[in-house]
Amino acid sequence: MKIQDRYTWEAENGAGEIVNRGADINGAVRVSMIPAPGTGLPRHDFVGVKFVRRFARNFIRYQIGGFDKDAYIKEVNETMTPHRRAMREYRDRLAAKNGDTYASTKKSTSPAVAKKQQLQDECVQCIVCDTFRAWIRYSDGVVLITPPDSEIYL
Amino acid sequence: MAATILIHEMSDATTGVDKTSGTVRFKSADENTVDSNNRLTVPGAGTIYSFTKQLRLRMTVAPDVDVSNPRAYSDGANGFGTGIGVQYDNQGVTFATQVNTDIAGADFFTATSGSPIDMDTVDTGPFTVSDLNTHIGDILRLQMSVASTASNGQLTPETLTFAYDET
Repeated sequence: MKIQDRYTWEAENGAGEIVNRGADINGAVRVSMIPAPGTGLPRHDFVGVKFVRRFARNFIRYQIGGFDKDAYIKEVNETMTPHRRAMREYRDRLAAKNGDTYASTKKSTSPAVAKKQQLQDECVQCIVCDTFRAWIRYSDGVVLITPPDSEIYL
Repeated sequence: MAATILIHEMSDATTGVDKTSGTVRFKSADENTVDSNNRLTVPGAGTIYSFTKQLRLRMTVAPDVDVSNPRAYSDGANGFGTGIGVQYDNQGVTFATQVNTDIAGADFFTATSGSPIDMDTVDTGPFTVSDLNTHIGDILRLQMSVASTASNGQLTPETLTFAYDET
């Protein structure tokens, strides 16, 4: 499930009509964030405040730089000469006799090699009211209230 | 239905490879394969520069109303280590020739969630269904620099975040 699909929103106007498209929620009497079935996310209903507009803010993560160890190992194994492969196997056999493990089978613990924990894509729904903004995070349903002119980038 | 916005690594003004949730590797050659070929080598003196990378958003599923306010930023901390930097500039909608000479851009790690890069200063939003299956917003050009003071070895990737609003 895409992160954007974990919640849907709806607004109810004074005539009891449900609106779930667009940005304008001015005049609504209720705005709800409804979790997708099975997500275990909480539902949020906002009532008793003056609504202005709403929008979703999406965050796409992208990795720059760094080393793709899997791609590197794959390439090394594909391009290794028979002689080098034989020498490596000989080395590993000797090491096994001595109860040691060499680099070809040893796991690196260097922090530089460890892949940085990837940040996940995220989405927040912003409900703009006259005196505050409510930001609902799609990954866990947490709500943050900020002043009405605040911006949030995660 | 929510819009689908991809991140493309551009090879010319209108052609790009989808790199959403992927990795861009800075290389000593102008290519975008994620492998260990064409690595950057720490110079004996001075600074070398990777070939530039140019990124742009692409809309493949239209929003209900529009997409606006595209931004880009780092986590604010250069984890690549001493002597290694990433610089950026905004190319507007003009694809610049890929170069491995100093683009004299701004430090990418100064672009943070509190001060993100405005990615629609030239190709301004909002972007609507009429922009479907086109690239939207400006081109973000990135380049890695490696000085002689850098250490050899593998680097831990850094995260670039693209943000946009949707209604």
